[in-house]
Amino acid sequence: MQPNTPCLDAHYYDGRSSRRQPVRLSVDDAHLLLDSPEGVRRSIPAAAVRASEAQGSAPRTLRFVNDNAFCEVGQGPELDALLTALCHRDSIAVRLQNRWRWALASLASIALILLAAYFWGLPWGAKFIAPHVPVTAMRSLSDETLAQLDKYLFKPSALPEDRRRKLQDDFQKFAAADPGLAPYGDRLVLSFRASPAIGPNAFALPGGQIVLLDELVALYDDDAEILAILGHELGHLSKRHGIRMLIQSSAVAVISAAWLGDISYAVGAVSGALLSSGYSRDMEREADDYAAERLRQRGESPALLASALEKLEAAHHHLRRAQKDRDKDGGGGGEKYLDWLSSHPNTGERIRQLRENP
Amino acid sequence: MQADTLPLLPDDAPAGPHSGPATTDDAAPARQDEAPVEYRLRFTGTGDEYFRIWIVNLLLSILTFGIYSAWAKVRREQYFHRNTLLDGSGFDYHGEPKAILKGRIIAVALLGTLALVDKFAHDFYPLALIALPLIPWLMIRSFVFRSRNTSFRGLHFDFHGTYKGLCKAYLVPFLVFIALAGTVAAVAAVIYTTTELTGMEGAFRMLVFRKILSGVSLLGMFLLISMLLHRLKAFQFNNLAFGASCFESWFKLKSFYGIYLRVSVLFPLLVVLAFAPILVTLLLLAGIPVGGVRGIAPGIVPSIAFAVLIIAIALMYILLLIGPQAWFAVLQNNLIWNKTRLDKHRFKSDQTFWRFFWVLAGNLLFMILTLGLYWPWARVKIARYRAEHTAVLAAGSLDDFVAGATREKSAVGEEVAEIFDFDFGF
Ligand SMILES: [Zn+2]
Repeated sequence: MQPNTPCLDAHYYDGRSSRRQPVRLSVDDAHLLLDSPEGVRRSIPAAAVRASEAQGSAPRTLRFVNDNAFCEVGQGPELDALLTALCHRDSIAVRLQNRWRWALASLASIALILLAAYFWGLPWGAKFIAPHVPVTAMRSLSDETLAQLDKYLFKPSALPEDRRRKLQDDFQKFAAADPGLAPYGDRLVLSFRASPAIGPNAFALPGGQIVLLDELVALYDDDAEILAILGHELGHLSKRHGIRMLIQSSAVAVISAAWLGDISYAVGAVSGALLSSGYSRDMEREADDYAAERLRQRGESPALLASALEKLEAAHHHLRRAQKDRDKDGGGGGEKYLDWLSSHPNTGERIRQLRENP
Repeated sequence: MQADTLPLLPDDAPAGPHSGPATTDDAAPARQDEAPVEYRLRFTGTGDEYFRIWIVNLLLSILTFGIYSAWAKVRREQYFHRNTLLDGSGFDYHGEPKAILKGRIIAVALLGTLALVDKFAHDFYPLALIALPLIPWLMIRSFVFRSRNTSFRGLHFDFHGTYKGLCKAYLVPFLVFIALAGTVAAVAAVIYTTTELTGMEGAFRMLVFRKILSGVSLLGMFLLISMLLHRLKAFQFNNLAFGASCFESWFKLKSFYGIYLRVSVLFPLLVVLAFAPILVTLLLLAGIPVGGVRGIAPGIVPSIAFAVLIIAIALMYILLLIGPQAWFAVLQNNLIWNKTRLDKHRFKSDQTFWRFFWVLAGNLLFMILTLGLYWPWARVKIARYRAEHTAVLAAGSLDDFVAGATREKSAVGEEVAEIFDFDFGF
């Protein structure tokens, strides 16, 4: 045996029995040589040797093409020298996973990919898919939501019948001008409710109902301002913001469940919170732009929505102060759900935008 | 070079039978009175190594939109198989990434079709019931895939269970279930029609009756689940082969009743009994009334008691959350392996509840603290605990196993079944 060729001890298994035989490995003339005191003597061309990937400190195997026999070899510099002599090269993935540097780079890349997916990919994907989701799929969800709200938060509206009919007619005329709202069909209606707990407000449910609270109607002398607010809510429907939010939050739920597996129940609450939070800043702006555009079409100024929002905000500030006073007096436990101010933190900015683009 | 410098022999490897008293014939099995030699499994993997493998392969899987996940799976299996050593030789995993990928694509296509049918052609959904008899078949294919792709010392495991065998194993529990449900329904019907259930007394009778009924149903479920589990495990282990040798198990159904009883009734009861006095004391110290009694404690004692109370409740929650799971795994593993043999060789499993509970509790804590990044370390810890508490009691040499009949080419459906990966507990 030449002194320079690497040689080391290994175990040899013939593939026919579980018998373990000590064997000495060496390389000569691009052949792997096996030699054992118990009579194994083989010479295998380097090209026919398949070395297993290194798996931590576990022994590696050298298998031979078209042969059930193989060698099991402990790791170390001798094996590395032998593999070099056999011209074996680790795959890229193995080289990556052997180094902390690359592992940490992978971790950073995954974090970046996840962040990018959350902030750009998800909204983009939802925007792409939303037009293909039939709005009828949202009906039962919306009906259920409205039933729940009716049970716990809403009271029947106290508006006189003719006032309601007038608002409904104005609203229907306003909505009919946009063909993008046609898929909602007869679900696109104003639902009149009252709710002292929530205060002046209007909501768009993804199935098409728009809930208008008496408190909001009472806030305005001019129906044009109410219609401007309703235009904003129609924007949420026309741009399918509800469906988009639903797609986004279910994607987050699915991905976090896949990532966290066993402990995803701990994160279930987080995705639930995401679901219940309001529309994103971009969506609010989109709805504002939509309302402004529609107002311009009618020959009215977008400033109408701006002044309507101003009044709304002032009313809510007033409500909040009153709530605080009541809490201080020891009343406490006041109903705080669906606080308009905390779900619309950027109203001042929105008003400025609307005023600047008449 | 001497054998003792071989890199593969563990330092603590016991002397093989070859150095023991000579038997009359080398090939003959060891004498019955010969004390078996204990070979404990070892696990040489570490969380650091597995983290690197996991994260790199996860990135590659994401970048290839999941295609690479088949290669990632093979790496994961190989890491855990090859780092599990028995008497210095490692296990090995032989799954082919391309075959696994093919199977996954087919499986995803099938599931997707099913989902589409559910969504858009709901009226045709009952047709999907045709797929129901496929489930036992898929289970068997999954067991076959797992065992055939696992090897030790160059010999592959195999699974000989048949569709008929699995159906037969499930038939008795199924009939018991039908009989039980039928009896309960019949008795309920008789009582409902013959008993006066109006008025104050009737309402009370109704309440008692309902409680008894739910108790009986619970008992029925309990019996059924134990029976199903026992049947499944017996089916798995009595059809498993290593080379030409077959595994044989003789654990009893009543042992499974015992396990379920302990895990689902005894454990929660013990936890509640142990915690009740502590919680009541803490509540009283914190100044919270319990059953009309209000404790009075001076100074900052109430706030300290309140903090301890929160910790105690959290502890109880964790105990109830992972305790039954840990105890179940420990009891089941110990039962199965201690009552299984392979030819003349026996097995030993000596897991203990508290040790395994601490492994799981630590894993849960660190998983939450690291937002899931602890996963590789958690997997390694569990694998190490399992390996280090399992041993082969070899009667004679581990050299004497021989290969079974020539391995068939992988059968249809194995790769498809792989995606479901029914647990083998092995
Ligand atoms: Zn809005």
